[in-house]
Amino acid sequence: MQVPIPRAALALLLVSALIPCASGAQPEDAGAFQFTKEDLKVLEECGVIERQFERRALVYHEEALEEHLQAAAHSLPPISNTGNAQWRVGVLRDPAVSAFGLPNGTIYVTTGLLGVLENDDQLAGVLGHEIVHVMNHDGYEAMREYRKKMTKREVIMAAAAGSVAVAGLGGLVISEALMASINASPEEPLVVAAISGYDTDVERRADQGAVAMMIHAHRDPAQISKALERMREKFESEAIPTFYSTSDNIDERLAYLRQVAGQGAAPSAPAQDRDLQGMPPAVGGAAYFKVIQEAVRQDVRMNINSRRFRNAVFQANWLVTAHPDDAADLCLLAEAYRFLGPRSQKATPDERSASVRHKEEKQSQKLTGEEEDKFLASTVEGRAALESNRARTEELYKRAADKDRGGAKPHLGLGLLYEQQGHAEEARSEYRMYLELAPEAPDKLRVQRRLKSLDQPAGGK
Amino acid sequence: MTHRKPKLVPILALCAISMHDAAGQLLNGQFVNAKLKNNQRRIYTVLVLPAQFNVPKFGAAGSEGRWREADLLEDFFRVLLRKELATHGARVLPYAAPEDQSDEACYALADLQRKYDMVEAMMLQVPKDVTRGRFTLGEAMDAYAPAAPADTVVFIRGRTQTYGGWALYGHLGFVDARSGEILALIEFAGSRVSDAVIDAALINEHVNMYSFLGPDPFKRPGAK
Repeated sequence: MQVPIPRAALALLLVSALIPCASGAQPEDAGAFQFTKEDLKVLEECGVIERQFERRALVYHEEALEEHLQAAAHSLPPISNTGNAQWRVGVLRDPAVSAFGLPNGTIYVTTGLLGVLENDDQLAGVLGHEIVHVMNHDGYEAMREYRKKMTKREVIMAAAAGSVAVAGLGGLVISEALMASINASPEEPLVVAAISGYDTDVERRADQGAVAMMIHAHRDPAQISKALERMREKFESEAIPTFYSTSDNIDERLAYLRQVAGQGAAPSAPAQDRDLQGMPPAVGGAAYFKVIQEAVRQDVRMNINSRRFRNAVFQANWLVTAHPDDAADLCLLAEAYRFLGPRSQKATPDERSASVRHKEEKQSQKLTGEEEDKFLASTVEGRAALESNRARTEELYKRAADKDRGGAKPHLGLGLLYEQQGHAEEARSEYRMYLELAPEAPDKLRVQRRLKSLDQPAGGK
Repeated sequence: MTHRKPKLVPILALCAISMHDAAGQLLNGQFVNAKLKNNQRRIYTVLVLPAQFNVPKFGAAGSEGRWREADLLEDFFRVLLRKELATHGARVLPYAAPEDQSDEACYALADLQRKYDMVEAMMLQVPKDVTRGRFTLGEAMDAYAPAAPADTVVFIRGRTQTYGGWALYGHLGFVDARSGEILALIEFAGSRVSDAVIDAALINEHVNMYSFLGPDPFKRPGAK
């Protein structure tokens, strides 16, 4: 006969098993990890990679945000320097939902991830996960494994005499598109491994360590699950898989995290685990939003640039809800709707199916943005969406112009909208208004050229 | 002791994959938009954006990015191209170093480069469609203020392979700064070039490049 284990006892068991991972700042016995010459080379490589990120302007700099992230990381108990790690948190300008820790202790979160999270507890959960990876030397281990695999592969390739170079990444191959999205070299396995995720067991250990850290820091561990649920809510088909955006990963992680965090927060937890009792509610939602809003604005523009229009609308809506009278945010939302064009704001249940997503991905790889718009607008649903989105765009630009009487931006947006609609006269009028209000605008020449093309007989679309 | 026969099928498959990988990068041609070829559109004022090179190193222990070499090659190639374009009569706009630019300007450049990468991935699938003006960066170009005085913006992408010397190949993307339309996709390649002769090899490639852009691509109307 099976004797049921009381939930509280199970919680105690789980937490006591997890805490050593986090509390002593040494999730693994630091002495057990011996740095080799190759590991030190990896460490050096981290610095070079970071300089490349900076050189290619991939790192987002905003003092208040950087301080906030640093504070969130340091609010987790075991963050001390372990081995060669010097802790630092940076933000990458990228709409993909991702975070990764380099072995040298630098943790990067993307603007896309910041825009998905709701509060500081969720942020701390993600940072905790990456901190545990660094503390466990997972990056070094992955590189050791990679080198072993590659050595075997090279033997086979040598046998295939005369073959040309292969950009082989052993077991760490992921989409080159992801690398393009961060402009990193696909030949950089260190970054590839960190972004695409490590082995399941390694990831699970990092999750468990993060939960333990959260509990010790008096943060709500259940927020990790909530963050994952938000990451699962996708508006677009994701052509680029990252560890944080892969549904299978998220489902699996949610299952065990709910178990761990849920039981950890049980009210009948024993007194010695005072961290589990009177768990403060997830705090910092408003403060979190305030500090990330500029990064979200950046992300809206990058989402538009990357043809992730639904994400752009979602994020810009978030900004406008917070600042309904801000003309700049209204313009941003209007722009997101203008680019959304013949697409619905939310994917229908049919569109969310894996097969349709796959088809969408293929289509977006084959068709240019203009071709895709034209194709979608030829369908009944597309035409309806286009009409509705254009009406919304116009309304938002007009609202922005109303809120900021001397502002030029809404007039440029209206000009572009009317030009797309073929309303040449209205477009001309708005462009002229823009030039009048912003005579020194950097895009003055371009707007003048647009005006000129509208004035030509065949110029009106 | 038993000797195993090498399994030929996986080896051949690997060869085929690797050959395909290399072939996929080479276009064997230069693709010029009809507008440029028919002189409907000319190139006068050019902004050359920072080059982006991948310089991987392949060895027994796997591959790794050679970032420092990539930096050197990027700077070298951009300077070389600016010089070449100027020699052929184009007005090449100065470009401020990233450290002298504001964060916002750097972000705008990164966004534009990323947009080009997205479009380039599509272009490389059907490069001949450049001739009919199928590809454009759209309004992304509008958002990049330093390109406003230019009529053409040039993107440089390259890659090296280091098996038994250096093989270098890549593309130049000539983009209409007003409309964002791709005007030309020009391939360059230097096989087995060493560090010392890279300069000469690339210059040779450029000389060939201009023949594809039509007669006197940078000549202003009325100029002798």
